[in-house]
Amino acid sequence: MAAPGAGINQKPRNTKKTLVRLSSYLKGSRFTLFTIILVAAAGAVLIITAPKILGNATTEIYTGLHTGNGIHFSEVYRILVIVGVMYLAQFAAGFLQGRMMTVISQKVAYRLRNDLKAKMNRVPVSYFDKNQSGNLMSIAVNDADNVAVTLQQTLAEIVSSVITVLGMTAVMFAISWQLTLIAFVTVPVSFLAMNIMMPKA
Amino acid sequence: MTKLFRKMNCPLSFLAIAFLLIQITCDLYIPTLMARIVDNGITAGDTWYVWSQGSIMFFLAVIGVFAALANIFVSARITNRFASRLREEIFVKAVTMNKLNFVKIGTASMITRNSNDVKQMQTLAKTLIQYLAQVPAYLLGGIFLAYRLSASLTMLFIYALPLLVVSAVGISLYADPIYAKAQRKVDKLNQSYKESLDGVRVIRAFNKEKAEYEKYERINAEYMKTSVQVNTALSLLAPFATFVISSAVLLITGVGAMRAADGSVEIGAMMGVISYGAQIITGFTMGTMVISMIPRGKVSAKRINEVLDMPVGMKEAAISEKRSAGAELELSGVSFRYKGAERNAVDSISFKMSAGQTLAVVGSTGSGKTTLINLILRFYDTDAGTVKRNGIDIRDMRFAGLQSSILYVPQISQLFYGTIRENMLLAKPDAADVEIWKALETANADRFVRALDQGLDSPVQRCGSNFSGGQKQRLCIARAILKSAEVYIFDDSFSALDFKTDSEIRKKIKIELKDAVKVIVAQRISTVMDADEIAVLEAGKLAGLGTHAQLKKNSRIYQEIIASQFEKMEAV
Repeated sequence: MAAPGAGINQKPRNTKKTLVRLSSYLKGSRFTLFTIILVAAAGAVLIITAPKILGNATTEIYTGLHTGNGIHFSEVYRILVIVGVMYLAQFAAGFLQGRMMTVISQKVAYRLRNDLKAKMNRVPVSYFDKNQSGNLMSIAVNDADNVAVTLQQTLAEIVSSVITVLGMTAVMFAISWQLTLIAFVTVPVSFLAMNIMMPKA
Repeated sequence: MTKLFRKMNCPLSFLAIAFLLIQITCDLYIPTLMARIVDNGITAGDTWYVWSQGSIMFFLAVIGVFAALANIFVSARITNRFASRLREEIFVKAVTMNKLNFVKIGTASMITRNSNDVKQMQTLAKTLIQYLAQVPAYLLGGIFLAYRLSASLTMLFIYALPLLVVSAVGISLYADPIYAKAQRKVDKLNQSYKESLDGVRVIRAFNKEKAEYEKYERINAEYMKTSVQVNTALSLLAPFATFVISSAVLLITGVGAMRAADGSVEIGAMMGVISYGAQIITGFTMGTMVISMIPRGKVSAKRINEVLDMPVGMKEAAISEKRSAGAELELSGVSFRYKGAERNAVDSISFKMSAGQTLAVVGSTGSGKTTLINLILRFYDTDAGTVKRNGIDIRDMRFAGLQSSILYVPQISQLFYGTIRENMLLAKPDAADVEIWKALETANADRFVRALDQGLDSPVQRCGSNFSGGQKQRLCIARAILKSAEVYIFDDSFSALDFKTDSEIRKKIKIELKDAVKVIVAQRISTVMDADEIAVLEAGKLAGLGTHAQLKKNSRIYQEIIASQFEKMEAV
């Protein structure tokens, strides 16, 4: 028998409106959100700079061997200690970020579910004749959970990805601008290939 | 869990994994090439060597990308099919399983299992196909190739591994039970939400919205807390693994410097080992990702298996006993007790009805009327006694034969979303319009259907909510009559009709279904008065059996029922 399509659309009718509404759920967690951005940024900076600094140690070893002056071990160890501290900070930032993202996204899902429930108490009874309860339930339970999972995975990801991409680019240019340009040509090509081959999910 | 994964397409899964292995081989070989370029090319100043090895590196990278894409493509197909197969099996099971077992799981939980849990399994399957093979490949392959470059430096990675494994297992052990708890909370949440959807009219009528909301909010808060707890534990894993491997890389650089100074390790080999360190981290991060998904998957798999492994409850007879045509219904000493109940819901009931006769069943609420009907329908099996049709125990009949020869009109008028015609055709898919109209006429439903603009094509809302209670009952009666059967059971199906319509319909039914056994469950004496036999139930026992005239004389309980309805009957 035909599915009752009334009332529930699969795609957001108005993406902008949906996003605005969703972000209003984040308002209460502004401070945490701000902290997450800071922590994610710090983590990204660490991820970018640590290999560069560690690279200095390799260079130190290489030059030490090839100029015949011998390796300055004190310099190598100094670099290793610095990078070690950076790794420790990276670990702390990673965990902190995960924890805070979990709290925020679960809170959003919690509020979403409560609001949905409250709304169900207000809509006219005829609404329940037009919409299958299975559908309404799936919204309250499944979709709210999906929002939480997506938020948790993407929000921190977006922040750290943007910073990582920008920072990495800067570092790459600093090391060799010619090689960086070559890399920049190949990246769009591979993205293009991805777009063509990826199944439309 | 593995039992469910066996339902996946096997050759295609291997194809996906094969693509994956190609990709990994390409990825893994690149640091070895780099080490060669540094040690044999750059250090020796051999530009041609750098170019030749560099182009091999490039081709490996291209092949790797295409293999990765092929893997994504194939695994998406496999897992989508896997999920739809799971959903189909759960659905089939849900509609065929024993009523008692279905109640045990509950509609709300059944919905979660069929949507949420299946999705969880699909995600896990996809992750496994796309990443699981990568974990040992990156870990072991990375270590093996690094070992070839420098055995002594690679040992540092090997020392770090047990630490990683222990922490991963520990976190997983900690998260497993919490995740199961969270899933139970989801079920509770679901149940509360479903209750309020199903009972929305009652809740509104009694103004209980606030209490309902507060109950939901409380469960919701518990669920949030549990979710935060489990996710926090899981979010510890990846940063920790990265930290351990990174520390190993630092040590390698330090030790490598010393080895390079005394000439036992070449600088390119050291750089190669460090690169493999990055790949080992990749492998481990993927591993933790997969591990963090396994507890959820396990819980979901368990919940899906619970449904799939649920016994259909009743054993179907292997071969149907031959039986002569004609309708006859005989119960001898039938008893049944619900699990955990203190007394039998139905207690040693016996009677026999032959073709064309009408049996009425009366009794107060909870007297066992509906249970008795369920036993005749074989929704439940009797604890003692037999139900026989035409002299054959119904347990010796095939389900299909049993169900097609009996027709049941339940207490709640169940109409489906669609049109009136579609609802009627459920009973007899090939019925012509003439037949449908005839059935509607018998059920006194023809007049109001004719008055509708679209006649048989008029829309029916979900649960038939656009018709009155009486109209719904008449439509359901018409639908039942449309199908020819040997036994018709009307479970309180006349309750919403006025006395006149009630008696008119029953008269017509008597003529139309003259060869069948009719069982009518009713509250009103007027509905049962002209039945051939009236069974009076009280507390599961047969308190009287006979015609209206006999019972009026002999049965105390029947007299009480008459007395309680007397005023109402007078009023009509």
